[in-house]
Amino acid sequence: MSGSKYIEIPIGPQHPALHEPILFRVKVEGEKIVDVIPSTGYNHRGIERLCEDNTFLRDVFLAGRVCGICNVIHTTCYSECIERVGNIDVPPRAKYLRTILNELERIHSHMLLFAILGELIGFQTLFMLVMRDRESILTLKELIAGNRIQADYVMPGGVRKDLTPEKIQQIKKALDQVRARIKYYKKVFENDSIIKKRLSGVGILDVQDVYRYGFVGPIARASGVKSDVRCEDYYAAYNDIPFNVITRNECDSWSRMMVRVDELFESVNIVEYAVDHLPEGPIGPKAMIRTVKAGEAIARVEAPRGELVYYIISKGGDKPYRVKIRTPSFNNILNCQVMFKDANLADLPAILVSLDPCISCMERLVVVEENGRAEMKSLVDLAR
Amino acid sequence: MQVVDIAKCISCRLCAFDCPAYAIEMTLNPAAEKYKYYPVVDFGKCVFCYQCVRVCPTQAYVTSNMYNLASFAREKIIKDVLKKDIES
Ligand code: SF4
Ligand code: SF4
Repeated sequence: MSGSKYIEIPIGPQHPALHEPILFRVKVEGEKIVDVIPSTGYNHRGIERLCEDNTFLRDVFLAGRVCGICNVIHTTCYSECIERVGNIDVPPRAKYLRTILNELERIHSHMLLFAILGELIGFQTLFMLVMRDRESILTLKELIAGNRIQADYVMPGGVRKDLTPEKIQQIKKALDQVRARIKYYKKVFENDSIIKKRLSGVGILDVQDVYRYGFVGPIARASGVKSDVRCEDYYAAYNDIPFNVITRNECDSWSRMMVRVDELFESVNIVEYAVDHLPEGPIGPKAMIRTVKAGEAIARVEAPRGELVYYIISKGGDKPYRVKIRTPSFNNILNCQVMFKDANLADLPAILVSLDPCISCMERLVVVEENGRAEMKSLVDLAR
Repeated sequence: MQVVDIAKCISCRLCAFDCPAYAIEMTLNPAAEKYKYYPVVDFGKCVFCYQCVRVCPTQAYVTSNMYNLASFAREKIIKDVLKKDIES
């Protein structure tokens, strides 16, 4: 940046505090951040295009691989969308099972974030403890779906595996332990001086900016915006299950973490309610759903990071004509510069981690051309 | 890993058709009497989604506890699997 009074520091694309490839071009004046330009495109895999070449059934697995952490949520959204296009009914038991897995995924995703937060602010013990407790949730996922992370559990029309009463007992036992641990973490987040000093008051995002830039998920809720797809739009069994939408008004990094802590309690309650009220019946259609009639539909679900949207056009046959995916991190990361204004350079990781960025899932709709700067602007515009 | 019991296979190709990773190839077995094609799984491509296990109409696929694929070098994987198979 010759001729400018600012210094530009590249953060990333290798390990910009997080273990995912994204480049932040940070303009600083002394220690103060003046502007942050997120630059993406290091992890583009062309999944939307691949979906058009593969059958509806194969795309289920592709959708699950958009994001490793929220794979069940992606497959749920994809399947809901297919079901809306094809007017396919889902048995109630399958809906409940989807809800259970979705919530377990939210729990382990939030816990992973707490662990990363601990690592980034130099609180390694928190990292170790949270990872240990997250393990019991992953074990539950393995118990239900057969795999710890990449569950491949949801299929159009239902789910792939059923729950037995013994497994339900195991789930309840593990959830009791997890709840006690979350209570402990809540105390840590509320009282620990390192966490409070590093997080409170940094990365302020006020309500107007949430609406102006379209932030979603826990980030919007931490600024007092009550937005949660689980109660705005009906999917899985959320319309039968009582739960609260957590909001806070502090608008800073710390409140974004606290919203997630409180959401964990809600998620544990949802899973417990769902296993207690699990309806009897089939868990899916007898035959695989291979073809979908012509039509188009949109489906929204609440991923751990916010609203996830799938839009599918089918022209009949066994392949989709178009699959459009919009992930929550797309909005949250490309518009993050508003939070960094006037922050300290050392606070960058603490603000970034409070956004819970998931780079692999936002890397699809990227039109990066040679003169990156001008294109970036339009990409940020797209995210609004 | 999943293992195929070729004696049960009826050469319906459903597994090869549904495999999202294109890992299954139907191979000709001229010696077979009735069902002349059997599936061969390329574990280098397989993503372990178990869709093949799910769709097979005759339950020819069996899930197993084998994990020999975990190795540092590709050559070593193949050797390890072969050696173990020969020993057992
Ligand atoms: S497990 Fe999945 S990827 Fe592997 S061979 Fe079977 S269908 Fe293909
Ligand atoms: S689905 Fe089963 S029966 Fe059909 S080809 Fe594959 S292994 Fe054989």
